[in-house]
Amino acid sequence: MKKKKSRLNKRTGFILYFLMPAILLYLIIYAYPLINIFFTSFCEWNSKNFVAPRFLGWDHVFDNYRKIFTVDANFQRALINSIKWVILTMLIQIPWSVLVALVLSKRERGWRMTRNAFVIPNIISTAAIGLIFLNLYSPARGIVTEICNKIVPGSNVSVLANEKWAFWGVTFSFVLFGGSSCLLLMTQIFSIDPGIYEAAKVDGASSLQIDTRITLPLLRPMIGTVSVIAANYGLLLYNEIALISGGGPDNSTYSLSFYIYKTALGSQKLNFARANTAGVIQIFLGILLVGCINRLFHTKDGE
Amino acid sequence: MSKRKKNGEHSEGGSRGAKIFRYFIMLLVMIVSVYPILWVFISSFKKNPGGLSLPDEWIFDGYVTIFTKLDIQTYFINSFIITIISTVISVAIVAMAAYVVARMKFFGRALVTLMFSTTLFIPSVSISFPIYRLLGDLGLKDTRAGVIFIYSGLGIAVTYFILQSYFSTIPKEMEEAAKIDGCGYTGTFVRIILPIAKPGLATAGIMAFLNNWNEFYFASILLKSPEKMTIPALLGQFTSAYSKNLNGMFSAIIVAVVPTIVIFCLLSETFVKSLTAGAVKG
Repeated sequence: MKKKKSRLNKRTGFILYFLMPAILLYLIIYAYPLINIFFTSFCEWNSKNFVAPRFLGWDHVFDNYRKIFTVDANFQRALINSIKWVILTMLIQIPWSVLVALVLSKRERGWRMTRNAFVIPNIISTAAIGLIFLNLYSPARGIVTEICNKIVPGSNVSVLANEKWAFWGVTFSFVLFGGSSCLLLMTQIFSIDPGIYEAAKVDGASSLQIDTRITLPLLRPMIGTVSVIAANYGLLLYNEIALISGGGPDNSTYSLSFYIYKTALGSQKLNFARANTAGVIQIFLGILLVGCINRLFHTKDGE
Repeated sequence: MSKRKKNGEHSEGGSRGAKIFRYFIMLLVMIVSVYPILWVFISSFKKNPGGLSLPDEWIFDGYVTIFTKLDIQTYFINSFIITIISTVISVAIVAMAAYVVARMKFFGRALVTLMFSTTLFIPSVSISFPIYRLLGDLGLKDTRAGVIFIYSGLGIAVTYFILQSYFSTIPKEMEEAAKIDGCGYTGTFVRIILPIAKPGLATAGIMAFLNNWNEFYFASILLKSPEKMTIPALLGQFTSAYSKNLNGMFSAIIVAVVPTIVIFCLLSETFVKSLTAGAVKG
């Protein structure tokens, strides 16, 4: 009896001691910062009272949220841009990845090499990708200006100097790189029972019909999963902006993440409370996005 | 029927038009994915980098500069130390928790899984300011230790899901046999479970390694002294500091990405497995 009890205690001790490091790490890196940004979003905290945040008072408790949506033009632009980038990843990256996955799953000669090439931009550092596109867009040494000059002589396009083009410049530095999504989709396609395809072929279905009537419907849950990952990437976009446009020209390519960085760390007029408010909004938007996409693709058993 | 399945390299047929379309898409993928890197590679040998043409004469100045004047080795060593240590710490810590959850029934078990799942919804940029302050208070700002600490906690959800599902597939008899032989809980975990779980640990480790190796945001805000920077942080500096030395910048990009590309090409099947395992949970 006693022996059993000591064994039980040992077991509890083991469980605690094995869980402790992970829980500590979670508390320090996730829980504490999360609680911190939530509470300080109701405080006044900027470069004037740098030392400690001061509660805004119950009458003004939502002041940061009110101001960020009404008077903070940079935040509003960042919010709109981030939403645009979410929509663009859904409209461009996802269909493009699905198309490539369908094509590569036909195993034409060279499919493996093409697949690997497609994945490379996703596994190298985004800092490198950013720097590459910064140079591609540069009027002095890039190729975009040169190509445009060949089509329309004397046009001298400067992608990053124009507000509208800079947005598209940032977009095309990531939106076509759907390699990881494509890998996941291909894994799913290859796991489909080949018997289904044989039956369809016997019935005389063309390969286009097979793709649209059989593969795509079966692929739907996985398209939902990759959409969540890709849309999240669009929502959180930071590296490409920091390296390519630096938020410019004239703050036109701010994203939510870039706004948070600029407001908390990277400018003269710091406003920590406001950056944390934007952080809370970003987290909320992320959860909303996952909910919407899951509903859209109606994945089974609440996955 | 089974012949086709075995012989995975062969195409599934289709009309001539379909084939042309497929090759066209594949060509497009190749251009989009490879051309930007190839362009930088070719440009890095030009006297004045950039433009569409091939170099008139091939110049290696950029590569010489980054190894002699810029000391890119230092940044590689920093990246390597930070990535290895943080990957080992995070995989070890998460493996311990994942094992306990996968194998033992206890109060609050579901809570641990929930805890790891919530990290998927907490983007690191949103919470970066409190983390930045905290590291400042701990005296870890601009230190490799601080970055290692943060990296150990990033991406733990993915590691957790991979490892937890892997541990659940190991037969229970293994542990029972160990217990009869007088192995304690910790002994069983270290000597029996970890060796069996090597493939799962490798999958999780590759994912964590890749993410930490490429991480840019925290590296760029935390590391300010050049001798402590990682490769991505160094690349970030090029937008301003070194932009006058174009050959150096182009060569540095190539030197920064080539190791990843080479390792990926050598181990592509392993990588593909890791990349798909890592994201299945979404």
